[in-house]
Parts: sequence; C-alpha cells; structure tokens
Amino acid sequence: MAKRDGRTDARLPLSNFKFADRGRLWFIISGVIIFAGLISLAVQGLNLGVDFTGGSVLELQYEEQVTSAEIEEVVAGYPVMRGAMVQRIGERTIRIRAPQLPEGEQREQMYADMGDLGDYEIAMLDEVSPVIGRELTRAGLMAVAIAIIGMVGYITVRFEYRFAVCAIAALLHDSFLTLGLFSMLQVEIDSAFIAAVLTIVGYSVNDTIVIFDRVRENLRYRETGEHLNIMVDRSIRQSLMRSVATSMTTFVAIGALWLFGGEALRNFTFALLLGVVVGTYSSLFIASPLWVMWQKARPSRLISNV
Amino acid sequence: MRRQRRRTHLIYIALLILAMCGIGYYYGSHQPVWDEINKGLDLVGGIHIVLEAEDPEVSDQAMNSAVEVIRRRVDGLGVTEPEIMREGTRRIVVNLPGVRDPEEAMEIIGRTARLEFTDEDGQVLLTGEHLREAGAMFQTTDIGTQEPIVTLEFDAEGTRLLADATQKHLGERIIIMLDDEEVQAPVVRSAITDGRPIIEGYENLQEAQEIAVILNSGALPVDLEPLRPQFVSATLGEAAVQQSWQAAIIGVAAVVALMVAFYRVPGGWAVLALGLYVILVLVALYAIDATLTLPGIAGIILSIGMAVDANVIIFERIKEEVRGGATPRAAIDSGFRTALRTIVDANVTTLIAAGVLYWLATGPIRGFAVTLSLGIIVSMFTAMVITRFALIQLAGAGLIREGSAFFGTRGGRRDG
Repeated sequence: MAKRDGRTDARLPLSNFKFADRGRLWFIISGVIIFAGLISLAVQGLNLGVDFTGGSVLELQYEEQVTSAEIEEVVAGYPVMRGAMVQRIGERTIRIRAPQLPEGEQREQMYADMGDLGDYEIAMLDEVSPVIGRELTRAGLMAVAIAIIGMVGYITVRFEYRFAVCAIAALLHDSFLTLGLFSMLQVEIDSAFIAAVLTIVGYSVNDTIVIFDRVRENLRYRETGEHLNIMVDRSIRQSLMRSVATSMTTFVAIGALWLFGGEALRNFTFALLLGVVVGTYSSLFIASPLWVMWQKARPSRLISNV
Repeated sequence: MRRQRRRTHLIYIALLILAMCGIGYYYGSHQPVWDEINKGLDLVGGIHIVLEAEDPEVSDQAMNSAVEVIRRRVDGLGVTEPEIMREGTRRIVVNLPGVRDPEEAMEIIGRTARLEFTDEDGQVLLTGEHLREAGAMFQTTDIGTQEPIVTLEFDAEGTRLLADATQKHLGERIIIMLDDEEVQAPVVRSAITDGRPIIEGYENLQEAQEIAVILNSGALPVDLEPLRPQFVSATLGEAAVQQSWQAAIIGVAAVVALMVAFYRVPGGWAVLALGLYVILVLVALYAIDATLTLPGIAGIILSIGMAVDANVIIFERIKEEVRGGATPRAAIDSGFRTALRTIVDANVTTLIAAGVLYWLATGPIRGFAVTLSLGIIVSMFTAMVITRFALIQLAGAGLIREGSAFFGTRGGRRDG
C-alpha cells in the first residue's frame, strides 16, 4: 500500500492553489451568474421550441439558392402562418417555424408557391399539436424532478448527511446555472434539452462523488494538526488529474460533435458542453468549499473524532 | 525462468491484440454490425405520425380495427418495413421509413375508410355506415361438414336497403368495395330480408376472419386526428449519419491523443479498449434489438468521452501507488481494487439519469438513454476486464518498468 502522506503534495498539480480557502469568492462568482440568469428567466424566459409550445417546423432544401426574404413573401400570403419565422440554414436550406401550416388545398397551394422560387425537396416537417406540446412539457419536468429525487436519494444513502447536502447544493447550482445561461443566450430548447440537463446533473454529481470519496478517505489518514481546508485541497488535488482528464476527454468528444455533427444536434451538444464545464467547476469550487465552511462553522462528530 | 514467464505474458498480449483485431474486423467490415442495427426515422428518413381517436371513450375493438385499416392502406404505399402500433387507449403510432412524399402519406393514412356495396355496374347500393358488425364462424353444411363463413349484421336502414338490393340483383354479384378497392364480390343466392347475410366459400376460418376484420374496419366510425406528423427526408437522415460519424472519428482521435499524452503506454491500451468499446456498444444495441437514433449516436460519442473515466480513475490510483513505492504489479492490483468502488459509484448517477429518460421520454431521446446506459455498462466492462488484463500482462512482460516514464509520471522516485 502506498503511503498517504502530505509530502507527495509537492508533485501534485496546482500545489499552491487554494480551492477551499477561497470558497466565498467562488460563491460570489456563481451567485452573480445565477442571479443574472434568474433575472433573464423572469424577463425574457426560455426560447422554447415547438416540442413544448406546439407549432410547425418546415425545412425546404432548394436546388438553387433562395433568400429568406423571398420565402417570407410567400409565407405572408397565408394568414394562418402569421408570426412565422424564416431562417436560412447553410446555402440552400430554408427553415420555417410557424404556429400552424395551412391545411388541405391551401397547403398544396403553399407548396406550389414555394416551388415557383425554385425546385426543392421537403427536408423536414414536424407539426406538433398543442396537446403533444403540453405532454412533452409535463413529461420533461417530471423527468427532471424524478431524476433529481433519485440522485438525492442515492447521495443520501451513499454519503454522510453533510456530504450529501453539499453534493445536492452543487447539483442545484448546475441546474440553475445552465437554465439561466440558456435563457440569457436565448438558445432554442427542444425535448433533447431535457436529456442534456439530466446528463449534466448526473455528470456533475458523479464528479462530486469522486472528490468527496477522497475527502472521506483522507479524513481517516489525516495528520494531527492538519487544517481541514488543506486536507480538502489535498483531496481535490489528488482527484484533480482525474477530473481534468475525464472532463477534457468528454469535452473534446462532445466538442467534435458540436463542431462537425451537423445542425440537428447543435443545441443539444451545446447544452452538454456547457454542462461538462459547469459540472466540473461546481465539484471543485462549490461542493468542496461549502463542506469545509460548514465544518469550520460547526465541526461534526466525523471531524472531532479524528 | 524469468524470461520464460515474460514470454508467456507476451503471448497473452499478442493473443489479446489478435482477439480485438478479430472482433473489430468481424463486426467492422466482414459482417458490419452497423448494417444490422435498427435505425430510427431520423437516420433513414421517413414519416412518423401519432394519431388520436377524437372519441375519448373509443372501444378497444374499434382501435384495433383502425390499426388494420391503416395497415392495409400503408401496404398500398409500398413501404418496406412499416410499423403501425397502438399506444395507450386512443392512440396509434405509424412509422413509415423511406417515404418520400410526406403529404401523400399523411393523406392516405388520415382519411376515413369508405366501405361500399355496389352492383355490377358500380352503382352504390348501401354503405358501411349501416353495417353493425361482421364476424367469422363455422357453419354446418347440408352434407354435414364444417365450412367457414363471414356473417354480417346491418341496422334497420341497412336491412331495408339490402332487402331491396338482393331482390333486384338476385343471381348477380354484389361488389364489396373498401376505399375503391374490391374486397370481395359474392353472388346473391336469395333475397335477404332479415339484414343478416352470410358469405361462403372461404378456404379456411382465418381467411374468413381477415375479411371480417376488413369489413369491420371499413365500417369503423373512428375519427383519427393526427397529433404530430414528423417527416425527415432520406437525404437529411443520410447527411446526419455521415456528419455524426465524421464527428465521432474526430472525437475518438482527440480522446486518443489526450489519453496518450496523459498516460503514455497504458493510455494507448485504454485507447485499444475504446476501439473495442465502440464495437461492443453497437453489438449490444443489435443484441437487444434497440433502435439507433441521432441523439443515440450522440449518446455513444458522449459515452466515449466518459468511458475513459473508468480508465482514468484506475490509472490515477495506480500512479499514486507507484509514487508511494509499490512495484508496478502490486500497484496495478491495489489500484484496481480501490478504484472499483469509485467507478461504480460515479456511474450510478448517470445511470439514474438515463433510466428516468428511458422511462419518460419517447422516440429519438429514448435512443439517447439506451446508448448512454449501454455505453456506461460496456465501459465499466472494458475497463475492469480488458484494461486490467492488458496491464497485468504488460507489467509481467516487463514493458512497464519501475522508474520508466510509467503512466507519464517519474514513478518510484521519492523526493520531498
């Protein structure tokens, strides 16, 4: 068995960086971002896609280039499509998002009008009735709630009370931060976003668990007189290489998908990228310092026994 | 003695590489598992429609008949592997891969079936709305044998119309048309005044039952409302597959580069395990007959990044043991032992997330949950079994030495 002594510290990365000591600083940084996010949520809300609001998306792939202005002109001829947003993706693809598409003969007419601008193929069509939108919203909220309850349950069983509370604080931190950032950036949110949030939360908790595992182990081998924050910093440093290595490999894998994976997955992978960063950050800078501050304010039996 | 043992270890390593290459070749190019996997409509293109009965208290039988009607219509479209299934009490899900014209497909699926009884000149005598029920049963013939028949029952108005028609067209054929397609053309043997005609002349009971189902469904008064028609063109699906695989290759290359930079020789092994890992995930997908979707591919790529995690946790532990002065072999043993709990712990939360998603999500997102959980399970396997085996053999063969650039650390050196 290896010796778990403080001397090996010199070779660990960031040996002078104080994670635990500067807890207040990290809390302020996160607090500011989350607060800004909450204001944004209250003022402009989230940019919800048709999955949640209901409505239609139609993508047309033209053989020749067309401008969105030309398409907008066609759309304007159909009153049911009032409020439609026309967007050009790449050179020849047009994306129309409308509350509704014309029905029956009117629709035939609309397709014909679009055809007057040039030959095209329907690349994608998605008509979501408000019923389905409501269902997806409900299922999404329920999924997030159940997953969080499940994870909180797991952490509570797996860890002592204070570790669990700190891990849960980090988890909530990540959820609010991500939600707030998405509101600020007004990135469109579809049902895949729910999957991304759950993955982020799982990832973040996972990262926190690995670090707390170390803290708990080091508690047992703590040298007399070693300060708690130094011990926690040591634990963080011991798992830092792992945290960084895993986050980096996950980040580059998802990053490749974000850059080269095409339009359909871009928002989804963006949420995941953001989540990897936020999740890693919260394990290092939120969960651990929080635990130290708590222990310092009111030492638990776990500490005083050592 | 020592040399001989090293040779044994080298042989094991060679066998392992050979086995991995073999599996890679077999599923990669000899019998590509990729071709065998079910792929979602977002990858192959096609249309997906959710239909809901407008009547909230629609009967089970009516819904089953509706599925039959749609199946018949879809057959006319010439789709290779249509999927028509019930979901819940009042919904029908229709998946038609490869359909090119979404509007045509929706039109054909969406319209209400029309059952008509006409005379030989095509004159409509009565329509399906008067048909109460059709059934199939055996009837005893005059010579005492059993023959399958279809029984029909009309309402009062239908009974009157049928009586008129059968009197007028005695000895002629009455043609039963469903959506302008002839189902059958039985000859009228006698005037039917009780509204309960039977049709004879079937090969077996099953044939009679099929006709009864068709007649029932034609008479079906269920109005179906399309809740969510979703269409993706084959071109778009193909492009998505191509782009995501390109991204996957770039992603794997980047992960490989990072791992080798961080962990040198064992990093290289983790990478070999990773290559096998991707194939194993695909084989597992195929084995459980799951459907691969675009978010599903994202799940695989995400889990490639995460798969490294198990290896990283193990390597970090081993590194520490080496720093503490353990020999490579001892370090590997205790590294795996201490890492196991952390690995399981760390993966449980992601599995919880994936499990909830699988339970509550539908369609493509469910595909993400499937590949993510498969990925996590397979990655634990490759790390705990394959990486472990490889490391033990490498250490045994003397390829990992004390004081070498082991795991990217100057191991064994103790300084203060």
